[in-house]
Order: sequence, then structure tokens, then C-alpha cells
Amino acid sequence: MMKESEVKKYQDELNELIDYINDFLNFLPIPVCDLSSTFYIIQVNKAFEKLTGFDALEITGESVERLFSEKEKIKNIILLLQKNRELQNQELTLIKKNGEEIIVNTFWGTRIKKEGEISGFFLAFIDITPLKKIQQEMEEKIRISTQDLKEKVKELEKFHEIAIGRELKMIELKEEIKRLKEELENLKKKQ
Amino acid sequence: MEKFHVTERDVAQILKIPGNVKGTIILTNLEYLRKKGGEGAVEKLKERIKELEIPIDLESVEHASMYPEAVSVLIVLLIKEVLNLDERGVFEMGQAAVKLSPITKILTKFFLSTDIILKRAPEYWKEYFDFGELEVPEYDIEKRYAIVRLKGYKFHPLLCIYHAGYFYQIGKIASGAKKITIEERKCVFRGDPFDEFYFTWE
Repeated sequence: MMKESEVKKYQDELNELIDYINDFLNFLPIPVCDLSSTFYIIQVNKAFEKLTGFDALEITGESVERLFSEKEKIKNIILLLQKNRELQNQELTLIKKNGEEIIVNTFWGTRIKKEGEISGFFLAFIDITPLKKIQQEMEEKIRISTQDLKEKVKELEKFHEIAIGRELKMIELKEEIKRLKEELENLKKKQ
Repeated sequence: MEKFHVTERDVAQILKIPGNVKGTIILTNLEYLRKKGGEGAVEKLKERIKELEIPIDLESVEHASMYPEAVSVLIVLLIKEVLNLDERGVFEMGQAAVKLSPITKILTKFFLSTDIILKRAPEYWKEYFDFGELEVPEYDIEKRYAIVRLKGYKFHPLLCIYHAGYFYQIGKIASGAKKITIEERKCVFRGDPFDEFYFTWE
């Protein structure tokens, strides 16, 4: 049986640990959440609440599937996490509380107990919608430039075709003149 | 709905009942109040605690330290009073105690499956309370039902609704079930020897 002073000491240490975890989670600028082994959300940090618009009270206890639009991809991630301890850079569409959809890069980690059993999962994500927008704009610019370039090449080919055609015609005419000259020379000789 | 009001008589009666609970329950109920009613509601609660001379300083409550359950119960009743909650609201406050407590997150070893939480429910209760007992006399994973009994706990009838919300939320996390029903079939306030909750899930 533990002495009362020992119990008090452990309680104080646990209180400090809880305060530390809470402070650290709330400091993190990246949205993170803690998932149960059944993929239910059991904890979110302030950055999560800020980005998604969901309050901890309304989203805790919901299935992680609720957050994303690609339900099949989530099922696949869940399957992969049974084998792999972590998964990185899984691009998904997050549905915010107001219905707005944003693209996020997700990172998944498995919590393993000493006995080797999975006790839960961690999920973190970064909003990459602005980056995606820039990427799309760049891709559009490249597409337009490529189109322009193709048209220029076409014009050049046409010009080349005309120029070469003209050149060939001139060679042909020169040969015709040469042939006619020879014929004329032959006729003169016969006379 | 008639306005619920905690009286000095309620306080005197409840404070007589022994037993302690971890402060995390008080703190999460306080967080629920803050989220639902803002800082104004928290101030109102503090005023009522002072008026009723309830022996607690909310500023110094810590998650893992022990406090009288009677005080924790009175805080639940006062939150109902301040927010003018109906029974649904009290049930939700019970759910919130699971959702918002950092200790619940540390205790994920209990939430691995329905089978584990049901087998280890008595241990789970002891993580929070130094009195009373939580028992699971009967359950069937195949038929998807469980009977949970709470013995040695008699503070106020509203706490039965609060506990139903609390157990519902634990069941939801542990089972991953889409639908859970909970019904209080026996109650110490109706003359039964214990509270008994009947769970089903799909």
C-alpha cells in the first residue's frame, strides 16, 4: 500500500505531465488529433479547431472518416496502418465545418503498446490548398505556353514547306532551262 | 420547463455523502460550461459556489488530484442551473466529460474493443473514484448487448442521466459502433439496490 505522501507525489507529477501535454498540443501550429484504435477522434488541438472550424466538443467521438471526402482512400489508409507504423504525404480533401473543401497533406502514426498491440493512432495534416492553387496556375501557364509553342512550330513547318517547295521548283526550272539550252545547242549544230 | 435551482438544503444533504473523484471530472465539466456559456457562465458558477458555501476553489483544481464527489456532483447540478439544461443537456455534459478529459486520452488501453472495455470496466471506474463499484454482470458481443451496474453511488437522480451520457460516450469510442442505445433499467432512487444500465449497439 502506497503512503499518502507518495500518492500525492505521483498525482502532482501526473498533473504536471497533463499540463505539459496540453500546453504543447495547444502551442503546435499544425492541426493534430489523437484517434482510438477504432479510428474515432478522441482529442484535437487548437490548430485543428481553427483550421477545420469544428469545436473539440462536437468533433470528439466522431469517426475520422467524417473529416474527409475520399471514404475509400481512408479505408485503404486504415488497412495500411495495420501493417505500417506510419504513413506520410497522403493527400486528402478535408471537409470543414462550413462545408468548404481544402486539400491537406496527411501524416499518420500508430501508437503501439508494450505488448505490441495497437492502442490508437495520431493524425496530423497541413493545408496545402494555397500550394495546390499555385501549382494549378503554373500548370495552366505551362499548358498555354506549350500551346503557343505548338502553333509557332506549325507556322514554321508551313513556312519551311513553302520555302522548300519554292527551292525545289527553282531547281526544277533551272534544270528545264539547262535542258532547253542543250536542245537549242543541238538544233544549232544540226543546222 | 420549471427552472431548476440548487438549494442550501441540497448542498447540506449532498455534502454529507462520502467518496472522492479525480479533479479531471470537475475540470471537464467546467470546460463544458465554458464552451456552452462562455466566461460569463463560469463566473456565474463561481458566484453560486460562493453563495452556497461549497468548499472548492475552482482555480486550484488539478486533473489527477482527488476531490469530494459531493462537490463534483454539486457542480454538475449548478451547471444545469446556470445553463438551464434539460435532461438531454445533462446527458451531453456526461458525454463531454469523456470527450474533453486529458486523462481519458491517457487511458486508451481500455478503449481497444467493446470486449476489453466491458471486461475492464471495474478497473476503469477505480481510475477515477475511490468508492463505489462498476460491474458488468452480463454481456454478449455477438448479440450486441451489455448490462452495466453501478453500486454504492447515490448522490442525486440527475447523475444517473449524466452517467448514462458518460457510459454512452465510452461505449462509442471503444466499439466504433454507429448506433448505441442506453437505458437505465434500475435506479437507487426508485428503490433498487443499484443503478443498472442496458446497452445495445449496431
